[in-house]
Amino acid sequence: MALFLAVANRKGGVGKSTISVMLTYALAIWSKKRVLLIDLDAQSNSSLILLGGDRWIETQRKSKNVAAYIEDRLYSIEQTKIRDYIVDGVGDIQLDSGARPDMSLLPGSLAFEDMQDELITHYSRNQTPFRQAKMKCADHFRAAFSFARPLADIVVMDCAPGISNATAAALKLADKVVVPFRPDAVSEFAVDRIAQIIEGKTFDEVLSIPMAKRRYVCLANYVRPGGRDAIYVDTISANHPTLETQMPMMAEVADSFDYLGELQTLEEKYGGAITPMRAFHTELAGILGL
Amino acid sequence: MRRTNRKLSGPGLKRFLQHFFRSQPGVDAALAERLVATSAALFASVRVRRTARPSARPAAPVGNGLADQAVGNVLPDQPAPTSPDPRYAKIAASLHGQELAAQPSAPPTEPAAFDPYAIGLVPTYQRQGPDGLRAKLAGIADVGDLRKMARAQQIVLPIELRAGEADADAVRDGIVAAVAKRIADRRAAAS
Repeated sequence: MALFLAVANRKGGVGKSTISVMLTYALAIWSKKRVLLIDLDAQSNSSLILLGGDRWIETQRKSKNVAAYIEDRLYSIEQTKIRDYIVDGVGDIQLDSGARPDMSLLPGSLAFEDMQDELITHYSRNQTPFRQAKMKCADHFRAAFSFARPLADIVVMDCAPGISNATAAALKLADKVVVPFRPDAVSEFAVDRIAQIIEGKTFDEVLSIPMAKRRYVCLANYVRPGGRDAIYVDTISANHPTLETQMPMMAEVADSFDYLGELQTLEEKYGGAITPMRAFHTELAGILGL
Repeated sequence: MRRTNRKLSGPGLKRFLQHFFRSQPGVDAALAERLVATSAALFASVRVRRTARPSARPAAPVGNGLADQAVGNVLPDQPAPTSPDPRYAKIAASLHGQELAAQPSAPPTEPAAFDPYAIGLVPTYQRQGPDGLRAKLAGIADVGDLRKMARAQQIVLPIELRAGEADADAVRDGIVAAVAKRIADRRAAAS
């Protein structure tokens, strides 16, 4: 039965999709796991990285994506199977053996935000109080995603920025949440807030939980050399469990967004970024007991 | 809190320089006077550290009793070195017009530029509390450096501490208070 990992931060542009895809590759190749990535971001960045533009457009046309899955579940629950919406053989990596890593994707969709609105409208019928409707939405998403459990060893959920009902459901479902952050002043506030949502507690209550027992771990991303970034990382790690590994600001990481359409090795794709990627995987795999 | 350094200028600076150069081994009275004259022309004022120990007599005898004049308890931070300080050896050489006898010594180094990130203000407060932060800041004597550190780490000092004449202890206290406020604001925003 699958381990659920969420990659989340309210703040946008911190590298959630980048880290989600890195994690998916790393767990599939180095931990040799069957990994399913669920793209919960309407921007669909992780889907574009793993499929390329053409294949992603095809998933929209064929309604083989997360929005279509949620909508179909809403209106025809018995016939809807998550398996029918998942794309196999994603990514542009080939192992030394010539085989492809065992990676699948429930693609994101631009319609996902509208779908979430539709869900709220559906559950708000008959003058249902809004708070209750939101809870039903979250339950709907949680149930929908949990059907992925038998299909993979690890499910990575790439969450959208902010806390939508889908993201809230992912955070509740996750066995562990990875919170990437950029070393800046705003991140302090963002991490504090999401920590409370993940733990379902006030800030002081979160701080009273031993770091090792929290459901989340932070990852410093886009780190530049020098004291300035080091101090921001230190400020966050004083209150929140933070990985020792830091992802540096590197051109190779940005370049990994490119879907080549032809197979390459992981080292060719990530170049110099393979070293921090491996350190990230080793450290997180140790925490997860993989 | 007692100040850890003191500013010297004018006659007080000259007296200090006389005391200092005369206490350096290998520097005779005539050379010391030339060093004093050159330095007094160069430096409008100097900040020197206080020591906790009572004033010590200079290592070298002085010819005109100037060392007995009050320089208060202001002394060079380090005791007189047992071998010539290479920086002063170079000054002496240029005044003599000849190199001093070669002595094994490290090449003169420029003082390192102040690193405004040397102390993480917020994480230090988070981990060691206000007293811990204050203790770490005590190692920074210069008000300008303290202000630089606060500005670099986006710690907003009260306007009266941000510019102009200010006591270093007051600036340190201002930093500690501003960090406490920043942490409190963050807590309030999270609630």
